[in-house]
Amino acid sequence: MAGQPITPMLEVRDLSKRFQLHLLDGRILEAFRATSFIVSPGELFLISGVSGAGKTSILKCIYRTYLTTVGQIWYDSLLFGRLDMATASESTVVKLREREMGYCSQFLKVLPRVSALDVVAEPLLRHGEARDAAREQAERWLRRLGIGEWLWMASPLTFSGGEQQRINLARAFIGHPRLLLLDEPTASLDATSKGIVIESIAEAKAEGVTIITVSHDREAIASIADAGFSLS
Amino acid sequence: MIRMMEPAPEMDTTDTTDSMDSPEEPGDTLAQLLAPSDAPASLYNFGYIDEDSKREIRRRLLKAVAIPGHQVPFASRDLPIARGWGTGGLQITMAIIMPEDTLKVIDQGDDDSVNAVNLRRLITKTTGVATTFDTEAASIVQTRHRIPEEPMRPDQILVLQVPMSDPLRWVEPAIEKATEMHGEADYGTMWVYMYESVVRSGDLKIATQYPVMVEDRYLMDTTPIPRHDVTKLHQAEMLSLFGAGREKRVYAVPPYTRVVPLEFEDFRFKTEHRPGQACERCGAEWTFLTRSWVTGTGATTSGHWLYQCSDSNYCNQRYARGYRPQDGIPDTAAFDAPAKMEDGEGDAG
Amino acid sequence: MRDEATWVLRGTGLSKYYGPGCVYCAALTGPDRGTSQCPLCNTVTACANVNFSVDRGETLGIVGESGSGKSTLIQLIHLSVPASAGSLEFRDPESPETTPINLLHLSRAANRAFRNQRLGIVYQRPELGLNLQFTVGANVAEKLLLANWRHVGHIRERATQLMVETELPPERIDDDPLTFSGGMLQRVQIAKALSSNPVVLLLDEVTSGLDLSVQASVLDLIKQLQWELGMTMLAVSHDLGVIKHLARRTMVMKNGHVVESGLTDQILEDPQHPYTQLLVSSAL
Repeated sequence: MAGQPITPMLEVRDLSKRFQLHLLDGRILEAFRATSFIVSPGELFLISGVSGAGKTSILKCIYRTYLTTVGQIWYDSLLFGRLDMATASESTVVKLREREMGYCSQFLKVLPRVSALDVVAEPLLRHGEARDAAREQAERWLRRLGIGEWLWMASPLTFSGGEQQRINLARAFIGHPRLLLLDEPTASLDATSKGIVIESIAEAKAEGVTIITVSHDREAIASIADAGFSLS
Repeated sequence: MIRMMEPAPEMDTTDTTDSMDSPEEPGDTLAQLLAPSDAPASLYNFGYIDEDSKREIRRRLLKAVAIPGHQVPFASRDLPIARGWGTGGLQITMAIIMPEDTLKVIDQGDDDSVNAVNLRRLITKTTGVATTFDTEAASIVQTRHRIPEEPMRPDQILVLQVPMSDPLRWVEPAIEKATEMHGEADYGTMWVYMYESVVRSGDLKIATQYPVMVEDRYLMDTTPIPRHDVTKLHQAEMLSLFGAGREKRVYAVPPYTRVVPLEFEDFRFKTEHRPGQACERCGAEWTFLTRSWVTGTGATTSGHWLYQCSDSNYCNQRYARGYRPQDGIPDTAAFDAPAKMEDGEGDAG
Repeated sequence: MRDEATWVLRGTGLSKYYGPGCVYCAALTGPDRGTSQCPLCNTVTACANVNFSVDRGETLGIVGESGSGKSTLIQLIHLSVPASAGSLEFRDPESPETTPINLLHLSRAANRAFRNQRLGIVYQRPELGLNLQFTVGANVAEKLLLANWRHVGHIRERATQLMVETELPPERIDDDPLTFSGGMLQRVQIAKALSSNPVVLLLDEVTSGLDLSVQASVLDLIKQLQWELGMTMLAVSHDLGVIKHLARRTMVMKNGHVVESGLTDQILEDPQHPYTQLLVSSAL
């Protein structure tokens, strides 16, 4: 309704991440500091900045791959209501990752000799879906992302960078996450692949997925982003 | 076997170091060996073994009877018979025999085989008890690898000679582990062995030493008796005592005990009996048969296998009472054995 | 803080000592001291005060180097080695409202029954998990025979089915296990472990020692079990790559102690403890 304040999907307050490197005599390495931002539902939020600025670290803190040093990450979840990802229990995080939150890393990491079809179908199989149904959906996503049928049974490790990234994305999209975290989705892609990827991100956004994406390539995503900021 | 064989000189039980006789010259004639020994029976303790040892064996036997199928270790004594020749059964017999007992000793069903004769002579020489070939007249029957055909009575004791006391030996060679398995009734590995036997040969192809469960608790080795005899142990009226001298274990199956062979629902325990089989001497169709080769007597008869009751006394008694096979005996010459030993002949005492 | 609702197995204060022990053992052993053996009384503290819990359908990874105590922990959980201290609680996922039972207090018979029927274990070396004198089929069927299956036809059917599920050629059911390759023997172990429909599957270095090409297919099979059966598992490995593929949460052990535990990706990408950082940075 008009005038009603919309609960933000994600509210990051004063987030800082520091690493203590015990192998280097306990040297402290700061990834980023005192970062705050708000992401509204259905938004495409872009975090840009030069490489090494700590953009990926922010995503990983949200996804709980990194432990937050200081700060809060308020996430409005379907399962548990509003909670702070930084202090959530492991099992809570696990359930959120399964049902609501998706993460697409910069590089494709798969077991060798698993076919592209099965790689993409994995999130569904993990949930116990029947193999045939899962593969059907995987086929749809592969088609959507422009992966030719002749490649479906091959291992993605043999694909080009662009194809690999599209497999990665297909795998992230297929789980229908509510909040999707994308780490450098268009990095090292050629123009065609980039176009396909950006198109599918836009489609997902149109379907109501909230997307936080990290990219050093501003122009590509800025056109479809709703909000964002640049990390220095 | 019905035919008698000459006992080997080394088996002469008078040739013991305990004996105070002068050692006999080597190369004694058969008659000398069969003659009663000069040594007075009073030189030996009754039953050869000393009283304390007998007491220990009896106490072990009591424990064995109290826990059917459970192997009880005992201190197996040295005897004038080597290990592997029946020292376990012998020690049990010596420990329990009383002057008024009547003894029968058989080896594979024969009363007159070498081993049976020698064991009988040792026992009678040191005890003076009466002996018999007749199962029904005996009070103690010591046996190697067979159970007599006549059902035994509650006043009789069957003493079996055991080569390997632990049925788990085939599947678990480590004694500590096997003891644990017995203690916890953890017989899964034996069942795997049985399953394996079916799978490998198409049926339960265990011929002797068939594993049985005693009172649903202990897995027991039945000694190398044929499968035909295994059923005789179940709910038997007599007491069965098992002695393994080399393994130094005794175990027991008291009367009216459940003794159930291991079997599967689709592969059941079967005895060796085949329909139409019968003893060619006395005609019995229900006894365990052995066979011997009879050489041909020239142009008219070729050599052939002859099937006879393994239990020689049983067969003799039937033959003596006139029982014959329905089709007649093929060759009577095979049954005219020379100088066959009669009941009680040739034993000291 | 663990979500209490869905755990299947929970260990509290699990410890295993080999030796008499003394008051100084605790202070003189551990990851900071770099040893598991007390210099005064020579007692080895194989496991010290380990706490863990595993949810239904989850795979918990246990990582460490030799001597870390990870294999001892698996043996304690497998109830094949008695614990010196602590408790190991089990809650049947089919009836979670019932009181959890302490597996360490079971009678010998109950212990054996639980170990044979409700747990499954796969060892690094097949001779530990299989009886090599029996055929492959007999090995797979062993737990069925222990559970008093007495129909050869049914047993064989089930064994064949299990071989198919673990991608073994069913026509080789009567073969000698020594004719099978390492990877196939691991599958035989898995088939055997699954035969009793266990609640928890324990994997002790299952792919260590296998050829790399075979490792991937065995891991793939294990992942299928995770997805299709929702099997609860504990996987021990010194190989972080294997843990990454199998485990959702991981514990890092050193000298009998748990130095760090958390979500696997957090352990691998944001390790907090110095030893974890050393392990992670040493991975090839």
